[in-house]
Amino acid sequence: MSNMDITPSASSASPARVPAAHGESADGIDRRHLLRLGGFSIAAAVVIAACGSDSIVGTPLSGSAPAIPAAGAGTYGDVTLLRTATSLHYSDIDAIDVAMATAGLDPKIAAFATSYAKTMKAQADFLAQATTAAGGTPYTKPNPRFTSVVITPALALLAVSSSPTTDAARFIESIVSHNAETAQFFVGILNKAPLRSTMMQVGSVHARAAAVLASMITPENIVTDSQVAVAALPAATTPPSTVVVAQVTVPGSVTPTTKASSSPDIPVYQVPSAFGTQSAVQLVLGNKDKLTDDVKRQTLNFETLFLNSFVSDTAT
Amino acid sequence: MVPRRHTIEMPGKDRSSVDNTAPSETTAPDRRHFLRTLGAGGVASALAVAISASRANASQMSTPNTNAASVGGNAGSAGGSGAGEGSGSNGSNGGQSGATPNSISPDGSDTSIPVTAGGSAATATASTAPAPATTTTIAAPAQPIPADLPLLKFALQYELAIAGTYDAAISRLDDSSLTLDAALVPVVRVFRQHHIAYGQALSGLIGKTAPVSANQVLLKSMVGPFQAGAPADFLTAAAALENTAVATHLSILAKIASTDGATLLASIVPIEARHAIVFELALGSTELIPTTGTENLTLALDPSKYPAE
Repeated sequence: MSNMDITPSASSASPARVPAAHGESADGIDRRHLLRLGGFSIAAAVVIAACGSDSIVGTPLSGSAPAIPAAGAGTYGDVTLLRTATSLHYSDIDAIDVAMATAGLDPKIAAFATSYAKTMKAQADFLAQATTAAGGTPYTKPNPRFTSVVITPALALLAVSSSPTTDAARFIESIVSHNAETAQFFVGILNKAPLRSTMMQVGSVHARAAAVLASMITPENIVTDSQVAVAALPAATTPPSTVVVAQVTVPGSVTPTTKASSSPDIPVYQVPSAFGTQSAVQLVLGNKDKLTDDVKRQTLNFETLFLNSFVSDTAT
Repeated sequence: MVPRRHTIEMPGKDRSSVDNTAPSETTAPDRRHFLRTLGAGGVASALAVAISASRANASQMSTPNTNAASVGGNAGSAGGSGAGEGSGSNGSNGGQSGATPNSISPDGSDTSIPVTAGGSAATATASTAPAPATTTTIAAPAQPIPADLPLLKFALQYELAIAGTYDAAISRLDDSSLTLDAALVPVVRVFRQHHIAYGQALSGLIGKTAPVSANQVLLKSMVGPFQAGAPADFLTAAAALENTAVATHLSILAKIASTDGATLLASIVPIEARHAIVFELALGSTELIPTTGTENLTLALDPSKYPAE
């Protein structure tokens, strides 16, 4: 007896469509097989995921790893950014105050910095008012993390600098540029359009101040050589920027180095680029005659403030 | 011998009526039923795990750019992947998934829309998910919305008009009818190039409807001091030109919803402010920084008076 009860019309069926056995198609995969594979695969994935630890597993470390700090309590939004921007001004005011004590600082730069510190206080007040208008509580203290992680170490290097007067001037220019960049960065993450304008009403003034300071540090540096090269191209309306950039040396693009004595000063320009950048502001500080890490001349990166430097809405 | 199969599938026969029951399957629940249930359960569990993970990420930081905006934006630009694919259905507009174009009013008033935490993935399941533990706000749209376009087109034509005024000055520098400090001559060419670059960048943001020429009304109103006059007149006019551009862009910045547009304008403004400083320094000005610490917005041009051409 045949194991299949073939009906007469089955003769017209393609042999390929006749299941081999137990409902399996000729190619060996049918719905049942698919269900079996899919079910077990997904179930296994769920079981494995459920068995995983809640802790973050990263690259194995030898010794004791520092604890990863949790995010601050509260919410993060436009008010957070306004409070953070305000706090940055207080950090910068304090930093300028310390840098101003550097003996031999160019009187022109000292006078401008003294005046600009007052302007920064007015800007902090302006941002504090915007914070209140946005429904938040102004934060009128220095940014804890920026001050501790960036300003304090930089001032320590300035204190042992082998060229303190120029370093102090460059330090002030750097933190003002950094403040401008941070405002520019915050524009992209602010929700409310009027607050973006508020932020840049302050940020562009910082850019002006940075240009003034750059003119005092290196008056001959107005624009970079690369910008001049691009502008001099015959087809200036559609410059092949990628090619040009490959042909010229960008003076500001100094690769950070850990070798103390080989860190040249980072050039500063009144107009350093065609568009405002958000890259880290680089500054070389320290003593070129020292070799220990805490005092040797080295390149610092002032990054725009982000998550770990935000002042949450409930921070006091 | 027990027949291994009772019937075979017939050409054109309704599959739903075919008896595919294996000989061993005599009572429910059988093995197939179990597998089917297990598969469906696995899918449901995996979905729940994914949503939970997404929600956990959102609860750590609900600032728009870090969760809702970036997740949606990445998913959109990548054509939909991971947690963002739930609502990242519109490629280039993935960043504004869930945020309707009307979420930001033209006057820039309150624009936030409370939604479930977890960004776009949570948005897609908001109607079925349980009440969220936390709320956040959807980020502003990345791409320009229709209401942004007239402002951005104005900004583009304005930048090209500024470049046109520099063209007039450069012509005079070339024929020596305008004499500037040697250090400033290449600077004028660079600044002209900057403004063309701003126009190009705005054109790229606007897309196919972008104007391709300067606003002639604006150009005619600005070019006079660049076509004739003493060097000091040029420097004064150039400084005023750049300061006006700063104020105008800041006024536009307060009105546009698009974060891409805002980010672009925010990258233009500080450099134009630096342009102004260069000319003011050349003039020997001592009033370089506004004592208020903020830009003077009263200088801003009214875009409605210069419709896109």
